[in-house]
Amino acid sequence: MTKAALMIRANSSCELYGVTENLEVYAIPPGTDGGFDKSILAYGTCRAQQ
Amino acid sequence: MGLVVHNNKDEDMDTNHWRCLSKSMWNENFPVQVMSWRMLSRLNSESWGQDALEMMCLEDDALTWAKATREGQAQDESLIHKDCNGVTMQSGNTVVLIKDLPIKDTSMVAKRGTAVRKIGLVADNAEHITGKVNGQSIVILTQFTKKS
Repeated sequence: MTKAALMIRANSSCELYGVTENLEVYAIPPGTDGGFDKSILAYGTCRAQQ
Repeated sequence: MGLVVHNNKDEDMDTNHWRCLSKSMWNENFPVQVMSWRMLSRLNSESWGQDALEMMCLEDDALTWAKATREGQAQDESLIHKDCNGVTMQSGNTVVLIKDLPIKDTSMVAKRGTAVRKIGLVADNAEHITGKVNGQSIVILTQFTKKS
């Protein structure tokens, strides 16, 4: 559900880099419950370098 | 003991990839602002990263959250960068070289008295700072610098 909501917020693109493939929810530490307000939608390279 | 002034090539982060932050930092959503702030804090050895961070204006709640992982802050006493006189340096300061320093892998010498503006602090080494001399990014040992 979070991902679907984030896809809408992010216009189906990585919220940092802007690309549209390999998108997943990245829960922002600390206390990562993965909720909509505590996450971003990010693609592979952005997630790997966090 | 050799002078360890060398080219700044040992980045484990792809700094060019993170140029995207100069756009995402203006995102209207808090989570995106927070992540942009943290990544820019990690890039403070790059002058564009410092500039972007200065321009960012997070609301108090978002800033508290962004700082929750202590990103961009010295982890402990041993990672506080000090100049030759023991004065604590911050990212963005200007320092002056107190002796001629050969630049590793080149024939260039950074002359004593050269001012290095907008320094960056190397996050995992309190004895290294980054800065530009003659347009080239180099790593400089803090013991050969004086904060101005």
